[in-house]
Amino acid sequence: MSDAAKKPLLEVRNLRTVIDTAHGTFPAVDEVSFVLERGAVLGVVGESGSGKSMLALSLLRLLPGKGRIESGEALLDGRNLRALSEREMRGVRGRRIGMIFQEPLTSFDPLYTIGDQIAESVRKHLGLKPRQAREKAVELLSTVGIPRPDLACDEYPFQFSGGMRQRAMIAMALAPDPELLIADEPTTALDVTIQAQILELLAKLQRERGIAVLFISHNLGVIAEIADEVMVMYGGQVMERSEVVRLFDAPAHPYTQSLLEARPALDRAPSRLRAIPGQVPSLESRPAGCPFHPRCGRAMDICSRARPSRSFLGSGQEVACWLQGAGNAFQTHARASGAGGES
Amino acid sequence: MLRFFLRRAMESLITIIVIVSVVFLVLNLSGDPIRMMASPTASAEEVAELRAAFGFDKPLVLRYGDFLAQISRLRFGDSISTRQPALRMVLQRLPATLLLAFTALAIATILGIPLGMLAAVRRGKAADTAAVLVSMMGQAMPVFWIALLLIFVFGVMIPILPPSGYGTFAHLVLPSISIAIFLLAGIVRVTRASMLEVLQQPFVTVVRSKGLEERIVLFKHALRNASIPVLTQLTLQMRFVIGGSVVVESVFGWPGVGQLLAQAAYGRDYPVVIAATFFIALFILAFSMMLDLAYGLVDPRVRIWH
Repeated sequence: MSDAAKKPLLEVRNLRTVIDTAHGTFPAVDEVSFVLERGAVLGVVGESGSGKSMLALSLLRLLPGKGRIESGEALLDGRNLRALSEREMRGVRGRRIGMIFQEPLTSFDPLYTIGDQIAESVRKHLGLKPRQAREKAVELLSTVGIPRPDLACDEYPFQFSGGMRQRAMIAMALAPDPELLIADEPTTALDVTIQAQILELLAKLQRERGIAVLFISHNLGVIAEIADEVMVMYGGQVMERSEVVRLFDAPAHPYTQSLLEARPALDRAPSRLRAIPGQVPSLESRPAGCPFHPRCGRAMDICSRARPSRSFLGSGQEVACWLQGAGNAFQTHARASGAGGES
Repeated sequence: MLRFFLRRAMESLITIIVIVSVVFLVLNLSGDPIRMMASPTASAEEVAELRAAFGFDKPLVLRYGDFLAQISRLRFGDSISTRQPALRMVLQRLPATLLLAFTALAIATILGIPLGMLAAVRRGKAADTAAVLVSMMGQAMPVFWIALLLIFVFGVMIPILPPSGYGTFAHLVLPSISIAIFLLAGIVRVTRASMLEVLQQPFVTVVRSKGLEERIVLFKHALRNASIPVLTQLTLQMRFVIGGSVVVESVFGWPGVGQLLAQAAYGRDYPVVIAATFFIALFILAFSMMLDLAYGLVDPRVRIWH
C-alpha cells in the first residue's frame, strides 16, 4: 500500500493509439505522456478531432473496432494497463477508473431503470446483493442531488431530463468508488445553466472524495473552473501542459495562444471573434512535422519537416514547439517524417 | 390496458369486415358456383331451383346484406360440396394449422435470434458470411420449392421422415421446417442488422466502461434493444406463415385450414372459403395484438398499460 502510494495514480508514457482505415494506419493519439497524481484534476483541452476522447477510451481499452494501442504504456499505480488480461481489465473498468460520457441521452440503456443500471456495476464490483445494491443506488442518486431518489431509482432514462440524466451518470460512475474518474465532455450536451450545476457537483464530489479526475473538454472556460493542470492537445499530440493559472497567464504554445484569443469574452469589446484560420486536419491528412504548423502564424521552415520534442519551461510547464528550445529534435525526426509519409 | 383492448378490438372488427367483404365480392365476380354444383345435364329449372335454395337468385347487394348479417352471428352456412356446416369444418382443422404455424415460428425464433446475434458479433468473419448467405437463400427460395426439396431429400432419397400425412411428431418435422426456413431467414437478417446497430450505440460502451462482462453487454443490454425490430418482423411475417401454410399443407397433405381453403377455392365452396378466411384473419389479428403487448414488455417507453 505504502509502495503504491508513492507512485502516481496514473502515468502515461508515449502512448500511441492508431486507427486502421482503408487508406492506411493513422495515429489518433500520438506519443502522449503525462502524470496524474491522486486527487488531482487534469484538464484535457482541444478541438474536435484532437484525440481527447480516443485518449480516454485508450486508457479503458475500449477503443472502437478499428482502433488499437500501438505503443507506449499507461500505468495505474505502476501496473501497466496494456499488460492486463481482458478479465483483469474488467476489474479496472468501473472499479478503479470510472467514466462519464458526453451524451447523457444515449449513455443509458433505454430499457432498464436508472437504479438497475447503477446497481449492476455495484453488484459486480462490490459484490452486493440486489437489495443492498438498490439501497446504494438510492443513496448515490441522493448524493448527486436527484430529488426523491427512491422513486427516481425505478424510473427509466426517458423519464429524466438531460441534467438529471447527467447527474445519474455521475452517480453511476462513482458507484463502485473509483480512484480515477474520466469525464469526457460531461457538460457539452447540456444547457449553460445546467452545465454550471453539473460542474459544481463534479467539483464538490471530487473534493469530498479526493478522487482524481481526467477532465476532457473543448471549452477552456469549463476547464479553468475545475482543473489544477491543463493539457492542450492538437492532432493527437500534446502541444502544451501547464498548471491552470499559468496556462491562462503565460501560454507558451502558439496554438494555446490562439485558443485563448478565440474565446468569446464579456470583458472585451464586442468585436468579432478571432477564429483560428484553417481547419483541424482530419486523421488521414495530418501534416508532417508539428501538426499545427499549417495554421500557425509563427510557423518556421523546420515546423513542416520535424516534430518538436518537449521542452520544460520550469514550474511544471512543458511545451512542444520549435519556438522553445530547438535542440533535441533529432530523436523524433526520423519517425515523424516516416508517419507523415503515410498521409 | 382496457382502452387498448377496446380500441384494438374495434380496429380488428373493421379489418375483418373489410376482408370478408373483399372475399365475398371476389368470389361473386369469379363465377357461378351453382353451375359447378349442378350436373352438366341438369335442366334450367333444376339449376334455378338450386340457385334459389342457396339464395343465389337475389341481387348482389341484397345477398351482401344477408351475408354480413349471417357472418355477424358466426353463421357461415353449409359447405356446398360436403353439405356440412362450414364453421365446423374450419374449426376441426384449426388445431392442425396452429400447431404447424407455432412450431415453425418456434423453430425460426429459437434458431434465428442466436444465429443473427452470432453473425453480428462476428461481423465480417466466416460465421457472419455463412449466416448472411443462408438467410439470402432462405428468403429467395419459394416455400413450395423448399417443401418439395425436403420431401425429395428426407422422404425419398434418405427416407427417414414421412413425406406426407398427419398424426405423429415425425409428420410435423418436414412441413414445419419448410415454413421455418423462410421465417428463419428473415429473423436472422433482422436480428443481425438490429444487433449491429445497437452495438454501435454509446450506451454499449458505457456498459463496458462499468467493467461488466461481455455476456451482460450482449444478452442483457444489446439483445433486448435489438429485439424490438425483430418483433416487428415477426408481425409482418406471420401473414406469410399463413400464406405459406396454404401451400405447405397442400404439398404435405396436412389437414389444416390452409389445405381446406385451397380445396374450397378450387371448388368455389363459398361458405368454406369465407369461414376459413375469417378465422385466418382473426388469427393474424390476435397474433399481432399479442406482439403489440410484447413490445410493452420489452420497451418501457411504449408500455400501453401506463
